[in-house]
Amino acid sequence: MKSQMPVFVPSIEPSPEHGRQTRALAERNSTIKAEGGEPNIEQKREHLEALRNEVLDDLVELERIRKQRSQTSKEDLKALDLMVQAKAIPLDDAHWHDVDLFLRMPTMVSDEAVTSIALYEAIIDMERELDADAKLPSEEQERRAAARKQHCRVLKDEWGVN
Amino acid sequence: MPPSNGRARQDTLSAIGTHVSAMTSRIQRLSAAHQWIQRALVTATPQGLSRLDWIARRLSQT
Repeated sequence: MKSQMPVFVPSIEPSPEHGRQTRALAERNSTIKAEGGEPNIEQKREHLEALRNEVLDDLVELERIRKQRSQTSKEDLKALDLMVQAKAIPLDDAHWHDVDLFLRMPTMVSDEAVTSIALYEAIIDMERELDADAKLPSEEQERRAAARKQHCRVLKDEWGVN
Repeated sequence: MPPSNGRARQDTLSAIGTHVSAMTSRIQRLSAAHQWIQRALVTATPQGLSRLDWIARRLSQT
């Protein structure tokens, strides 16, 4: 069956509005809850979609860092490593932490990618539950779930996550 | 749908949102650190200086 689900194409660069929409929708839903109500299915879907886009933007940023970091020369990495060991220049603690982060970047990026994909899975699980709550025809529910799973598999392959 | 289902979904949604927000903050921190160092690394070393000295100088100036 031909999929009619939208294709999730992450933007090339993270949006400058990154995370803002998610926070606004979270706040709206919290306000509804605080007033004794409950966000309806569409409002929850909207929030989930914003979360999914935020996670995909995060993955785009991680990929950008991964690619650029892989081009750093061994000589530069050695110099930074020596600098951290000797602490020979006056930097504040936050900047020393930045240098340390840079040296550990491949591991950090990989760990965050695993977290991103786990959150992506949680998001699509919940989208599936909302489809059931909305009482969509079972065939449509299955079609949507399959399209989401397929996209998740693509992300896992890209990041070498099992 | 029983009301408890909806509340549970909303709680899960809020929890996912909290985790996504924390992760985004961590990634932005990584990105900022990466960009700061990268700006120092893209410059060529002037003659007479070691690469280490040059990178150290660049980082301590920014």
